[in-house]
Amino acid sequence: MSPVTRFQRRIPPGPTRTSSRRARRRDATAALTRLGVAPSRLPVRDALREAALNVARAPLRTVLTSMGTVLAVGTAIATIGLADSASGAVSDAFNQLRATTVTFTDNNPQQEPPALTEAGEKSLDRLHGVVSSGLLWNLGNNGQLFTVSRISQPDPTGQATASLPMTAASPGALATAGAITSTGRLYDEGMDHRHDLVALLGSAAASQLGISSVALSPAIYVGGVRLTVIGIVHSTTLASEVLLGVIIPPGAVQAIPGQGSTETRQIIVQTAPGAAQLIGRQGPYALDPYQPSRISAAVPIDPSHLRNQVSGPVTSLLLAVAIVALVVGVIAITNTTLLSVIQRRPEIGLRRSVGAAPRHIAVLIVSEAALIGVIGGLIGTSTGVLITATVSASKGWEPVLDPALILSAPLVSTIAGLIAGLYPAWRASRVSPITALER
Amino acid sequence: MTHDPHSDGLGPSAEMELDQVAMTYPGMVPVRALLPVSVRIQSGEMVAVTGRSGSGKSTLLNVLGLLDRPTGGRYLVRGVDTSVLPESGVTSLRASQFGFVFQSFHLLADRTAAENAELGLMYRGIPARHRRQAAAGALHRVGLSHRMTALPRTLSGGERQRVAIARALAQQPRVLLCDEPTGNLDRRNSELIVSLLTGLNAEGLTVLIVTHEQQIAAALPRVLSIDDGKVTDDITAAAIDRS
Repeated sequence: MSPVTRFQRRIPPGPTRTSSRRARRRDATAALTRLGVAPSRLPVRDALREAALNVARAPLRTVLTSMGTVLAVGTAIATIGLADSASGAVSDAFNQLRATTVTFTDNNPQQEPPALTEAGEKSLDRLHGVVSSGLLWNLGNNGQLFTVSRISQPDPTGQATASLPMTAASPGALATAGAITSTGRLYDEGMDHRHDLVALLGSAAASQLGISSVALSPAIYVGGVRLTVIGIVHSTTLASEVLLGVIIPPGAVQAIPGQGSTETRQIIVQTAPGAAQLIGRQGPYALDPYQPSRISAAVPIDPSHLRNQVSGPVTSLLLAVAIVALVVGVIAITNTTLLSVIQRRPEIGLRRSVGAAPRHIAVLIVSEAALIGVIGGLIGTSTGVLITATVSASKGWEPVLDPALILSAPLVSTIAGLIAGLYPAWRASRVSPITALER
Repeated sequence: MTHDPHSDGLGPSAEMELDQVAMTYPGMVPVRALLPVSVRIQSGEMVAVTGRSGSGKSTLLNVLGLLDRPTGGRYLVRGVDTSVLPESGVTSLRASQFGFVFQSFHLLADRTAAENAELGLMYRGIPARHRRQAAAGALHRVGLSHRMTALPRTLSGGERQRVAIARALAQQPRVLLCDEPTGNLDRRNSELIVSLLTGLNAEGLTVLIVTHEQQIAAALPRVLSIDDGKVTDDITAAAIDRS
C-alpha cells in the first residue's frame, strides 16, 4: 500500500457527510418555506392534556394498567410500614425490660471502705431520673457456695442440707429487682438497720431445702448462724440468679462467717425511660465524688440504636422485596402499555396521518404511562398505609410510617411509569400512518 | 431541493405531480403495487380513482397523501420534490397540505365531534381557543353544528363521515384525499357526502376520491382508472364532451 493511499484512507468521512447532511437539511427547510409549511409541533400543555384525557376517558384500561403499580407500591409501603411498626414494638419491649436499668460496680473491691454502700443508694435517689436503687452483692469469693442446713446439728444424711450461693441485697435492691414472694414477705429497712438475722429463699433454693411455707417461721443455718426464713421469692425482673440461693439484708452480713475478700458490690438502678444514659454518666460522681473512676457503670444500649439494630436488617430485606415488587410493577406496566399500543394502532396511525410526528406519539404514550404511574402510586400508597394501620391496630402496635416514604412513593411510581412507558412509546412512534387506512 | 415547474413543458407546476412513481413492497416475494405512473393533478380539480380491489388505487392515495414514500420516481407537490424532505418535513407537509377521509371514519371513540374535528390542529401548535373555533366552523360547514358535543357512538354513519370531513376541513388543507368515503354508507348518505365533497370542490378545494362505485366516479369531472398498478385510463369530462 503506497503512503498516498494510506493517507487517503485516514481522511475521516465525517466532514463530507456532515456537509451533505447540512445541505439536505437546508434544501428541506427551503422546500417547506417555499410551500408555506410550518413545522409540526405539540406544546407540552397540550401533550399532557391529551394524555390526561386518554387516561381519564378509558377508566378500565387505566385501572388494569395501573394495577401493577398499585400492587408494587402497596406491597412496598405495607411491608416497610409493618416492619417499622413491628421493630418499634420490639424495641418498646426492650425499653420496658432493659433500657431503664443501670448497674454500678465497684472496680476495686479490695479497697476499704467499700465504694458502694447503702448510703450510696440515698445519693443516687437524689438524682433526677432515678426511680429506685439498691445495693447487691454475692457473698464469698467468686462462685463460692455456702452450706445451708435446716437443722442446727450436723446432718449425716445430707437431706436437710444444700450448697447454695448467698446474696446480700438491700430492701431497695429487692424493690428495684422486682422481687415477688410466693409466700411470706420481703424484709424491710427496719430489719436491715436492726441487723435482724432474717433471710429470703429463692424458689429454687427453697425447693432444694424442702421449704414450701414460712407460716411457721422456719430457720436455716449457715455456718452455725440461725437465720429466720420470712419469705420465698418466686420471681424477679432483674438479677434472677438470686432465685438460686439465699438472700439476706446487708445488716445481717457481718454475722455470716466465711466471707471472701473479693466480693464485688453492685448498685442496680431503675431509671425513668430515656434517663439511663444520663444516670450512667452522673452516678459515679454521686456515689464517690473523690474517686468516680473507681466505679463503672453498665448502661443499656441507647433505645434508638437498639431500634436501628433490630429494624436495620429487616428493613433492608423488605426494601429488597419492595424493589423486586417495583421491578415487577414496571414490567407489568410495560406489558399492559405495549398491549394497549397494539390495540390503539389505528388511533396512533390516525394521529400520525393528521400531523403527529413520531416524537409526539412517543411523548403521548410516555405521559400516559407516567400519569398511570402517579395514579397507581397514589392508590398503592393509600392501600399500603391502610394495611399498615389496620394490621398494627389488630396487633396492638403503634403504626410507624416514615413520611418521606409516603411522600416519595408516588414520585417513585411516576418515574417507574415513565421508564415503563419508554419501550411502548418507541414502538408506538414507529407505527406507520398507513395503519389508519387499514379497514 | 428540486423545483422544475416547466421541466416537462406542460405549463406551471401542478398541485401534485407523480413522475414515473413506482411502489414495491419488500418481502420474500416483493409486491409491485404501483408500476411507474405519471399523473398531474391541478389545483381545484376533482378526481375519481377507480379500479378493482388490489389494483393499486389505495397505494396511489397513500403516496399522494405522503402516508407512504414511493420506491421509485419523483413525487412533486407544487413543484417541490418531496424526496428531499426528512420524515419530520413530510409530517409537517402532510398536516398542512392534505386532509384525509377514510372509509371507516376513524374517529376517536371517547372524544366528542368537536374534539375529533380539532385533533389535527393540536399538532400544529394552534392554541386551544382557536382550535375550538376552527372545529366549530368546520362542523358548521358539514351541517353538524348541533352535534358538536356528541360522541361518535351516538352519531349515524353519515354523521360520522361528516365529522371526519370536518376534521379534515378544520386543518384548512389544499387537497382532500378520500378513500372509499361512501363505502360504509347507505345510498342516501352516500349522495349527501358526494354532494358535500362536490360543494367543497366548487369552493376551490382539490378533491381526490378513491372509489369502486362507478356511479360516483362517472359523476366526477376526471376519472383515473387503475389496473394492476398501472393507470389504464385518464378520462376528463371535457374530453368526453369533445368526443
